[in-house]
Amino acid sequence: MFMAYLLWGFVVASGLFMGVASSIMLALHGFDLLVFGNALVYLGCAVYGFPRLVRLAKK
Amino acid sequence: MNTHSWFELSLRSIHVVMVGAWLLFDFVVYWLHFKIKDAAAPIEERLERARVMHGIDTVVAYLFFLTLPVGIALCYVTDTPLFTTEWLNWKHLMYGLIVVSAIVLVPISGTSLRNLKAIKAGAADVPDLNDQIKRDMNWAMPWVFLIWILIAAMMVISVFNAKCPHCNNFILR
Repeated sequence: MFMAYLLWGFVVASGLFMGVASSIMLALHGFDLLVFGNALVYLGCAVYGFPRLVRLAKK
Repeated sequence: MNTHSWFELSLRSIHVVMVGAWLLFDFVVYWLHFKIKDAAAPIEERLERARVMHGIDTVVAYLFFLTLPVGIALCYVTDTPLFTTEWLNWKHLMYGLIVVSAIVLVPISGTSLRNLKAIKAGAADVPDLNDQIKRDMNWAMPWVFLIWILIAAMMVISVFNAKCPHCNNFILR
């Protein structure tokens, strides 16, 4: 159970941190395909992982 | 060498050792899985290997989780803000794809140990349980290979972008 918390917590936290950081870079320095790809992947992970983390916490 | 350089060197070393260990342990898990999915092998041997594999997988998970914060700390220590360098952007994108692969692998991560314990306890549907182990492990393989390729690519990118801390020139190009 601890590993499940750790995994989904990591997916959400790292996804948010890296996703927000890459989004800020996009906003400050203009569009860059590689940075956009990073934002897409990491924010996607955070969005996918968040409901699973909440479901796990509610168990 | 001053304190900052020592700290940077220590972080770099930890980062390199973690990624190296991650890849090495992944190879061990890959080697173990052949016997685990072999339905003809003795159940005790398969169960023992599954337990070892589960333990190593836990270590791999910790290494995977810690690689990112150590890498981010290294960015700050070397005064390289996130998403300002193209080669680091590539590495971060590859790490993100590894996170996606990990998400795909989560649902099948405990199948072998759970099913083998059930077989040992005398479950009736042994062929089904064995089929599930084999199916899940075979299904995981492309994702495991993708992780290996991404880690190897990240290592190559890092090696060719390593700079001498004193003269600031690229070491290998």
